[in-house]
Amino acid sequence: MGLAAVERHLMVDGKACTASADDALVARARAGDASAFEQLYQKYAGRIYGLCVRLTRSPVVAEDVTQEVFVQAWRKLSDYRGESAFPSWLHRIAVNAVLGVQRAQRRRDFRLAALGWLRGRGGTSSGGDPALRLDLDAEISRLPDSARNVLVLHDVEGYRHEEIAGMLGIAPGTCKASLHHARRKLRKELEK
Amino acid sequence: MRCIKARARLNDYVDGLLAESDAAAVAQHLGECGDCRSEEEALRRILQQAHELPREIAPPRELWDRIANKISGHEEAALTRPRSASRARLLAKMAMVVLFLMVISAGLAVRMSRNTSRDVSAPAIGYGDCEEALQKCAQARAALLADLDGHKAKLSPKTLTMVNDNLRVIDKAITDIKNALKGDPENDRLKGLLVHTSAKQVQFLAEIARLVNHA
Repeated sequence: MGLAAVERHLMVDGKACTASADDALVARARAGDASAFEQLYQKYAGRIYGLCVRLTRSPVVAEDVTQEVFVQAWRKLSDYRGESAFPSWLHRIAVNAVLGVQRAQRRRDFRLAALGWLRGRGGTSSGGDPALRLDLDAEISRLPDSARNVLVLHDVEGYRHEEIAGMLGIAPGTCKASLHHARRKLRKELEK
Repeated sequence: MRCIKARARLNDYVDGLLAESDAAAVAQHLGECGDCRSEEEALRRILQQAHELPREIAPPRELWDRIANKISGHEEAALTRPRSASRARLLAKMAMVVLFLMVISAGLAVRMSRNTSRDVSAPAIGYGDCEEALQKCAQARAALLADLDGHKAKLSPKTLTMVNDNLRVIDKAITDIKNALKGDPENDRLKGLLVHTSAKQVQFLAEIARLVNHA
């Protein structure tokens, strides 16, 4: 993960959260302490749910995926070696779960657009023109899955191409090309 | 540097991915070309907006409760949750088979109660009456045993011993009844008892399958 992404991941509710604090909670959760796991959930559920909403375009699907992510995380805690920060480990689980949903959606040719929901829902971020942010989110939701996944992970979440390529199972060059395509498309739509 | 080359490198330039010399060449071009500078500014505006999008969205409050339920019961759920639609279908099918066998078994009992003695004038229960029921029992038994065999690791050793002991007892009872019928093939009570015992075995196996599959 890039340095900026690490810093952003480690900031929750304006407070710096050290990796060691997470490690302590993970150790307790791994030993079966559900309250420790709940603390990890309270810390990171908003980030995971936010990512899932943006990638799936549906708050309902995102809710199911978020549930699946944390249930999987609980079951796989023994596999977590601390080689990456806990939130990025969670993000990987989330991206995998979203990819599964997207594959299923493509199979069913079932398009879920959360445009209206996103328009009506405020975020926790400040800065910038709110109308522009909503337009941007709406346009992001209209991108094809592959372009949207890359753009959200790179431009919103701050991952590097190599990291995104690993998560999505694509070549870094493909990742870069998808990002440039997504940006071009966004610009074109936002300038209409 | 020409515009076409500068624009091809613009994304990498704003992402800071260009080598120092390439970045300097693009920067120089942007300083000289208003159109390309406008392109760069538009791209940076989008990236800035993307960066400012809310990354955190509060999930519904009840979501943790659902997760807590799942993780607190996940060991038991792993033991009892249906693993596939085919297994769910098997259980549904077995429920129908057990119901059918119970009806046949009850019907035979009623007929036997009418024939309270070896009354030669009363219509005898032909072995053919039992054949369908026994065939269904055999099929259901085989399907349930195959299912159980694939998932017996989920049962504790103590439970597995209990299951095997009970199956042996019922199997012995069925063998004894069949042996008795060989010596007394017209005995309606024995025929009814054979169907009833076979049905009970299927019912027992279906209960074990439910224990393994259902939460």
